[in-house]
Amino acid sequence: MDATTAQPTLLSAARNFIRKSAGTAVLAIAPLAAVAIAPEAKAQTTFGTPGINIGYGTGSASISDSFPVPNRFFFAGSPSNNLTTTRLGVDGTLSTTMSGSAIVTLTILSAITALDIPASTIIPVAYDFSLSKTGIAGNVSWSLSSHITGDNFVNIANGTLTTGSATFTGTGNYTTAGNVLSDGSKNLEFILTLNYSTSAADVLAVQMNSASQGFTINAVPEPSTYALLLGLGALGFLTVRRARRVRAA
Amino acid sequence: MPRLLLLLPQLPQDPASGAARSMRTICEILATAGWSVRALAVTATEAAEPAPVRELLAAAGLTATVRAPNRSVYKHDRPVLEFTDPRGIHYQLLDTGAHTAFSWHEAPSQFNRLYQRELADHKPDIVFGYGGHPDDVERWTRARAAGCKVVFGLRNHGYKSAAWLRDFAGVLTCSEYLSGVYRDALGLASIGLPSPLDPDETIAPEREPIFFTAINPSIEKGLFFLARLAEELATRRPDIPLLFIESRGSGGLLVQAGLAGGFDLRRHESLMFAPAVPKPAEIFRATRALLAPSVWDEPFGRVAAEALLNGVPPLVSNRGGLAEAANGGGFVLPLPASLTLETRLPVAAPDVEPWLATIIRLADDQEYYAAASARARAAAAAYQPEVLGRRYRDYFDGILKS
Repeated sequence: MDATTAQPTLLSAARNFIRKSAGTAVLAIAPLAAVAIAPEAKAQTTFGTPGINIGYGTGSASISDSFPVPNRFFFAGSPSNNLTTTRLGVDGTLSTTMSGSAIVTLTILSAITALDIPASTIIPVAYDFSLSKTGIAGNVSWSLSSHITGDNFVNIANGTLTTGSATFTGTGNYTTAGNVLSDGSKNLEFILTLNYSTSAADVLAVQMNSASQGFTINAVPEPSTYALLLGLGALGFLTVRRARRVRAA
Repeated sequence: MPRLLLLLPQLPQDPASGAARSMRTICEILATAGWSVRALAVTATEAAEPAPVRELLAAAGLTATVRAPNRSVYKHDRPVLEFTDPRGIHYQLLDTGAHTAFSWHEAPSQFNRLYQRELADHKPDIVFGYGGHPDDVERWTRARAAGCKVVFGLRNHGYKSAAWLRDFAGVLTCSEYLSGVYRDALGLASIGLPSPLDPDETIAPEREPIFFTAINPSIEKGLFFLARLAEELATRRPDIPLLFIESRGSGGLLVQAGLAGGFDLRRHESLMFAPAVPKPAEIFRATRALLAPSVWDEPFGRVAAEALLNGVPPLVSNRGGLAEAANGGGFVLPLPASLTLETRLPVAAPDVEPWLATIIRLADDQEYYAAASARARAAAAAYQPEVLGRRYRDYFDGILKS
């Protein structure tokens, strides 16, 4: 078949296919001309509202936790407020009613909303939090690691609470191992693991002053090339039809 | 009867995860072969906007009973969904609510209790799963302590150390390419078997070879290559329809990529797009050839294998496991070396020429197309369920005997 006869065939076949399968086909085909383009995104908010996950390891102690929503704070870095960093944290307590060993993982996570981070990017992070123990006779050891979904777990720091209370501060770097693409499913997590032995009615308080403490993520530099992606990330959700049955390719 | 426990940190029926679906399909192969298979997992998925889990299960013809938590004993416990699928696999899914597969770990205590009960009551010979979160690693250790053999499904590039994987009974990757990557980088021994494909989901009962189709126009799948390819093809040959299937990448993303290069793809009538569909068979029904110019190193390139099963010639990039997945039944074509995951502009027009020439010939030359399609079908023999099923059964039988 030569090109002269082939040329009209496939496109007209495509149109016929769309016409005959309209309303019945699972595959709802539309012309690319139907794509709606949103105004260009201006501001960059690099991380989303935080969530708190509390996990219990294999310790034998019975623990109840209280990290109420009002005690969670989050300050986003964005051009609109001239913050160059994002800071987040939480105040709360872990109370025990039975003796035993306690392994508690406090995960503070923040969704990466519209940001692409190349491999080997160094993201400076900082931590500033206090631990106070009531009734806990021994030491409370802690470790802090960081993690971006699908990327490395990176240990940031370790420490031990030996006296009644202490404040721990420091800095570290999270270095991405692979490319972290802004597909909407990635979180940046701070994972604070607390390990201690308790007797009945002990309390361990994890405190972060919202005015000055918490976990700080230095905003990832925004070279001009990233600005495009920000717009793309937003626009990806703005095509004319919103049927969202995701098939992993 | 050999006993296997599938242990996954996400929904085995997750439509957004090829890895989860592959693990489930492997278990179905074993269950069909007479293994006693149980699954312990959670309801979390990788989907950005997940449908309610009961809807997902219902779409797969599965109805779960809900076991309510006893919060008088365990304050944080959640419901557990339970069902047995048509192949006899018994599932327990801890309902992790609205959390994604990456952030459900607030309930490991309850999950660990369910897991401990599985190990104690059902005594699996093999625990099969994936996951490198510290909680996951602890569970692998526990399986080995209980006398189970652990087979780890390694489906991506995400593992940077191998120390905790070395003592497992087996590490199963989805390609020889990925096995080679881990062997070279970490000295890790593994077996590469192609991901099994469910023919009911994959093979279109009827085909009309019309569209040149690209799935998921995202950066990693070659967005900035596809934008230029679309511009060049639509300009030179407006009679050849190009179809983009949305997933993480979208029609909007593609248009924006073109605009970044100074051209508006929306002016071309031959360029079309469609939202994602749950079954690949729907895509291949009207696909003439598949375009897969992935920039990142695909661990396997499942989509190329799916195309072959439909007699659809895949045009794949020479990166990662795509060439292996095409199995000699497609066209392995170059991408410019300068195209990386950091690229944010469409490639230059000459870069798409080899792809353009192949597309045009497949559109114009019916004999050439028929031969390519026949070659694709021949290459698909490796992915036929009976062939792959036998390889998986042999692998797990070998693990049992090891």
